[in-house]
Amino acid sequence: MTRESIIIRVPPDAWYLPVTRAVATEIAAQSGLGHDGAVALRTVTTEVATALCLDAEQESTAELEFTRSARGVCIVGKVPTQQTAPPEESTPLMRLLRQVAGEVTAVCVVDSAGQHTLRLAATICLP
Amino acid sequence: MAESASGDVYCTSLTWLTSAGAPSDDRYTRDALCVGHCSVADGTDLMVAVGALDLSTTPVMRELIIDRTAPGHVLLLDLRAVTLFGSSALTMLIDTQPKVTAAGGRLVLIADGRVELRALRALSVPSAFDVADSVEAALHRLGV
Repeated sequence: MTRESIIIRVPPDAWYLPVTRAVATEIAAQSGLGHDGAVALRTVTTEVATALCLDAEQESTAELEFTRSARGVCIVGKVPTQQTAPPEESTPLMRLLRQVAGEVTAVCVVDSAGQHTLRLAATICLP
Repeated sequence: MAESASGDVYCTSLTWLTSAGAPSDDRYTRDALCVGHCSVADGTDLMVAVGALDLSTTPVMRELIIDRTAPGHVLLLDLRAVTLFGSSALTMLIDTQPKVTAAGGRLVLIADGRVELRALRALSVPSAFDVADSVEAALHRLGV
């Protein structure tokens, strides 16, 4: 399977969580993740998008990138934030993410203009 | 007797409390949270959640649980038809459970080990809640 990415951009508002899950559901179906993998992808997508909603700057845009590969599906979420650190590992969100996804990374990066961006990545591996 | 979204037969009818009404098979609306409610015994109510429990829907769920909390009253919260149980739902339950207890009520979760129990285990919190795998098991445990 070749690498293939789909990027969606939505306001960081909980109202759009079902939209992100609809995309995740379609990608899971096309990726051969199976039922459990699809449930995991929907859960991880929701948690990544939730983190973006909770930490986003006002009137910003959240970006979710889904990349399919031979290993599985990787989700990378990004949003401008005023936070200087990613969500703490002890939060329910991070603990659930770590239990469901094979790999999780969470960082806050700052660009040359001083703008912070939360970047959260998680991978659901193929069975 | 009617069959619930979870597949159990336990009450004559559920009253759907949420604006989405009864659950739908429509692929575009099946994520909507639908919450049904009925009485299963004297002082024991059943609330059935169908759909996704996420950041957008947990405030509604919290409000419904608190609204139906009363001293000496048991509320069975059936989560088996939940299609997504996120950290927001976990946080909501962790916050709401003490409020129910402080009000003299009791909250019992009905979960069968699919979506919702995995999330509860992520926080190692199943022991923090009363959890039964069926309505019948919960009623048996309560001596109803």
